[in-house]
Amino acid sequence: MKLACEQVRETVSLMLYGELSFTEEEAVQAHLAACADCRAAWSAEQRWHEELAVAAVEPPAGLLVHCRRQLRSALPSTPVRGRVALWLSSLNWGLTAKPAMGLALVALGFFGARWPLFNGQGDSGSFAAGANLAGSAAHVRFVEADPAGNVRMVVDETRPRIVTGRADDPEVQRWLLAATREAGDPGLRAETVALLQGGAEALDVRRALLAALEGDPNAGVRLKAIEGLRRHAGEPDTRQALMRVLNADDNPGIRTQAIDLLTESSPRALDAQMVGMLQQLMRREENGYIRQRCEKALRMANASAEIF
Amino acid sequence: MLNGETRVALTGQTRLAVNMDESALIRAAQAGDQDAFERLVRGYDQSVLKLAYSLLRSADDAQDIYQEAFLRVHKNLQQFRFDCSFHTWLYRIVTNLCLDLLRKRKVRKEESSVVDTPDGPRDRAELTGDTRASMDPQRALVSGHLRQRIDSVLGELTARERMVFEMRHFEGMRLRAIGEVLGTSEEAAKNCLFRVTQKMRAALGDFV
Repeated sequence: MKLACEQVRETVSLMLYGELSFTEEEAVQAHLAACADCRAAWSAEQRWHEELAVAAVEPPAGLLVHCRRQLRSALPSTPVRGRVALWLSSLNWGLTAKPAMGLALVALGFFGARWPLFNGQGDSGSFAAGANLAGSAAHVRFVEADPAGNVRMVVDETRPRIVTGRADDPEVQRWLLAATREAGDPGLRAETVALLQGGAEALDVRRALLAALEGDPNAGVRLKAIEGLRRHAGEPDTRQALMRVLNADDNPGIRTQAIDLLTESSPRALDAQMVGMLQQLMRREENGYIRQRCEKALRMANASAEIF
Repeated sequence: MLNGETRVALTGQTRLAVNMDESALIRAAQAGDQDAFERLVRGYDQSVLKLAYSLLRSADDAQDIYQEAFLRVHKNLQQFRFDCSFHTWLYRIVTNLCLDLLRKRKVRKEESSVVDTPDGPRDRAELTGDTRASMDPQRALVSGHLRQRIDSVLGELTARERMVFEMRHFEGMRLRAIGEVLGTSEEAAKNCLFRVTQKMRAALGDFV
């Protein structure tokens, strides 16, 4: 394939993007090797591509965390449709079961309305979606009656249970890990994360701390999580998470901790990604103290604080 | 979780593992697992926000796009049938929302070179001057002019041209993937990019 100068000059941009076929690229390269004018045009093309970097913008620090929190509060806490669909599919009933299901729902209404009478509570009690039975919370999920008058029910029941043991006990740890994700009370989550700090050698504990660091809406919990990760700042997954936190967390205290952890392990040997990120941060970070920390870290690594 | 850019660097085997992980996450989220849904969101939300912010140059609008996109994903995840990648499906939602907003706002006129800052909206050329105070003044001036020129070209692009250019130049997406996201062919996306590069070359030629 032999190309004219005009064709080459129109195509070089696509070559820079790596969007030419092998044959097309070969033809352009062959032409460039033989044509000084087109080589100059190719160099100019490369330069304006590079200059476009000034047009790149990054979302303001903290916006991502803010968006995540807002999304979390906007989402329904339990996707009912998914759970019901899952439950129905697990029953594996065919089309013929639908009338029985209808009957069951009628029965649920019938027995639901009469439950206080059966339960000896008379008019004083009520029975709706849930009930407290001997210290437990219960939800009736399904009811059916046979002709002999027997009732079969599916009840989801929650009872409080006291679990005791050392923090590294597998069962205790399982509950602690669940609490970091699911506890509604930030104070409880902070306590839980603090209890897990010493066990970050275990992968699942470290993952829980990383998830809390990046996702918990409460800054106190995130601070506890970052403290727990201090000894693991050199691990690749922790390092990547700390970089994301440095870019996205809206709390300056946490961003400062993230810089410390990222730089203190090998202050004189920051990798290119880290240097690039600190330089970018210097440009957009509004907190003067953090900018100073960035500058200091870059100086220690003999890197420029400017991007040219 | 990995975004499209990171996937490029993976080996075939690792990529397969990542995709399998993602499929499992999607299925779990479809079954109502909120934690799986959050992990799915975390895999993509940074790049979604970056794209929206880059296109709209407004923190409020980018935030609205983020929220609306992931709420739609949550609402319609049951209908996701793995006919395309999750990335493509998600980006279709995001780009449609951005295109609608760009068109509604008549962004070419409104956008000019103003960006959001913690101190309120400011001109980007002016902002560049601030952040590069220690730069050689001559160079800072040239850089400011260059930026204005680039903004002007970006402002003149149609919403679709703008979208293709952002995804190719700043997001590093392949034209084939861009075509899939925008519901068009790779060739059409290539033509669109070609038009943008012609405009850029014409506008920036004397700067380089």
